[in-house]
Amino acid sequence: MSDDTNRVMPSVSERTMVPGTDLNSTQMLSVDPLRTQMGAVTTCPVCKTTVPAMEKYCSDCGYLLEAGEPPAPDLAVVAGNSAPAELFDPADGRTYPLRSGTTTIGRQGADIITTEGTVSRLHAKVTVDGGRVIIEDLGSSNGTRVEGARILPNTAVEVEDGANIRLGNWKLVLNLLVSNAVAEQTIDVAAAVGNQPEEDLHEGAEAEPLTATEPEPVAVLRWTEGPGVDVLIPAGTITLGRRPENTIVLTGDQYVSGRHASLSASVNRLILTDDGSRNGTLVNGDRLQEHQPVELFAGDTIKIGQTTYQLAFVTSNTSQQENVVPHE
Amino acid sequence: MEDRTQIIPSVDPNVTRMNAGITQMGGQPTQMLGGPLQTVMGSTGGTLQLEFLAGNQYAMAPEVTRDHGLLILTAGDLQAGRRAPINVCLCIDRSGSMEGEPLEYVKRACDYVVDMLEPDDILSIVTFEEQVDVLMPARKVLNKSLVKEHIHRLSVGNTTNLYDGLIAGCMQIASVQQVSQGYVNRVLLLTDGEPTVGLKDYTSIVQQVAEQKARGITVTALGFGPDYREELMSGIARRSGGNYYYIQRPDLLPEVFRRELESLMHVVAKNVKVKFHLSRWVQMRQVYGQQPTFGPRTVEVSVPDIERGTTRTLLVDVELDKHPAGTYRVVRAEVTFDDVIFNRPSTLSADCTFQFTNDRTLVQAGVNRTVATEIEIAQASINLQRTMMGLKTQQLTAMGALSELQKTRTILMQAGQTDQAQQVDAAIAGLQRGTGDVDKTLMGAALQLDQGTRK
Repeated sequence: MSDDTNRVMPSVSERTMVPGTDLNSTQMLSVDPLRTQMGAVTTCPVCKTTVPAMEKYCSDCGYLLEAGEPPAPDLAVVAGNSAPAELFDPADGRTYPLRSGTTTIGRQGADIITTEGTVSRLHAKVTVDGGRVIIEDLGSSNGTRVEGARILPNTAVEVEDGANIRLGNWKLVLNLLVSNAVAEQTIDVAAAVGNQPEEDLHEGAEAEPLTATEPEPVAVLRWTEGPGVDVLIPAGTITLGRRPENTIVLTGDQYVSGRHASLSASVNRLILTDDGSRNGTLVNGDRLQEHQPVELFAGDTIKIGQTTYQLAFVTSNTSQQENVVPHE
Repeated sequence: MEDRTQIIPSVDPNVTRMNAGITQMGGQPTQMLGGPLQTVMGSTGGTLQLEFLAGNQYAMAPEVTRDHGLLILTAGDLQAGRRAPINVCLCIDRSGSMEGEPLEYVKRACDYVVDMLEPDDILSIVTFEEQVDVLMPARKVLNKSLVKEHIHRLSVGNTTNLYDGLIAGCMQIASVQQVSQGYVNRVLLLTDGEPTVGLKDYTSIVQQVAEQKARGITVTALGFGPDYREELMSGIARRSGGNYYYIQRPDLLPEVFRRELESLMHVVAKNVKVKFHLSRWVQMRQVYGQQPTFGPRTVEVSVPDIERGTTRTLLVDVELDKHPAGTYRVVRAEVTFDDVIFNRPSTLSADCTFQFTNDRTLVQAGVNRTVATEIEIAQASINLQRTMMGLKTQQLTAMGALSELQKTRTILMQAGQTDQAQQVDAAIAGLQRGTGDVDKTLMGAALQLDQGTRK
């Protein structure tokens, strides 16, 4: 804790300007000169933040520095700490973690509590399941909106990364913390490996083990017409749009929305959802309803913005023979 | 207070409170009054003392934990006999309904106030009906009998322009703010009815109160008789950090004025603000009974003035992520206030720490009883509000409300909140007699609980 370099004796007033840095009051009585060094720094053994040596607690994680190294520096705990998703309030910069499972939101007795008066006591609940986030309005007085559209009470609606959610007049943005989500999935998959039935892919398509281990595409949108180019689809939940935060950024086409659509892909199954794009998404000539997932099959023509593609699955040359499911 | 001062808190399993340090802004060490008491922590002996208790000394390292932190601000009684001068405005409703006995008692109450003032204190009197009159502009009371003569010329008008009356009252306080630095200021707003002229809606009025509060002006709301709007009056007090009184009968007016004045004269800390700094892996879910301002990793609340010999608490709800085992400061609280005894700004800080462990038996045994009691008190306030709501929406019968109130009363008695328990008693009696003023009584009890007024 006492780093001998850079030692500067503080003036009396500097010393008294630092409130509550000393818990151990016996030391305070016989002012220990080593404890009042200014300028020296130390590194928090838990979160690796650089802290002035005179600080008692890490200024970031709050670790009691004088305790030295933690007995078992359980870095797995630190790494896996964050929730798979969060709600972000752009008005005050506050984030609300969404852990796996169900999180309730309201003014009283909920997991996420707000003082916003237009939010009901128990307003909505959000369920995080793998990479999927489902919101449900619990019969609130002022309703819940996803991307501006009011959702029906007591009806589950899937929301995508970056979605604007409004509870009463309270505006929030959903952020999927992808890296964590993937990490969690990888662990889940590792546990379940060996007995993974194909039916599982229906609900938890993104739990496909290829996500983490194999970056190869599972499908390709082959360009047939318009300003775009071929799009390779990796396994997992991916988003499509012009904005850079999308998994696949479609830059060439002006008619693509910032956040246009999302795909849930596994080796033999592909679910497409239009995320409320301005110019729509067409599958075999039919415009998709917003936020209504649709399964795609090999050979389908998909139009996103002004670009038309044809879907083909990529057949892996490894142990995936049984995956070639004949549709039609 | 010295029994709270532990020499080595970190090794005492019964003390989850961690250090509380004081810094006076002038960089002065905190040697002031009270001699022998303040030598150990550097936190005692000041006008206020600060503690920040964790709901449990321990938390499970590999789990997400929800627990509480309790901030306790205690004003010692050391300065008995000394007080800060006050700048008070009596803002009086003289609408038609005040005619007769009420107005006579109001005059008597004002006389009372005049008699209590000392030469340095500043008084102003504003009355409102359809229009607003400044009966006496803010000044020191030098000739008490002359002021009383003015008061006795009060006569009733017709309607109630509460909004403009309130603004005029605040303006009187503000008009002398230059010379009244270090004064404790307060508008005493007395009304017996609903606003009928001017801005009448809750939002506009409470918004105005909030703006005045931002300028350092506090409003105490005095509701008189059966016809005032209790949500409005308690809302004003809540937003302002002032007190709320329900005055049932005219003959109680002088006594209530006296009590409010006395409480003003006991204020030792004003403009009290608490800023919580959250460590990583910590969320603050709520501050009970408060409307905090949240930042990315800070939470700020404003606390009502603190009187000597009293305690104010703030109960917070924290969510702690998984932590590698060890001791962590999860929240640091920084309290700023104007010390009106020494007429200077002051800062206090304290840490709320948890020890993260893998031993569940430690967690089970580590609960802090003081914090547990505060959680019950917070729950009692929520119960009261629920009961009021149930009565209003008729989802709760009188019998149902009665049994709810009796339960809440028991909780309050057990928690040592006898004042509020008595108010609940009064509400129970009112409910049994069908007097229809249950809300007017309970609003006050709930507000006091939420404001963290203890003892």
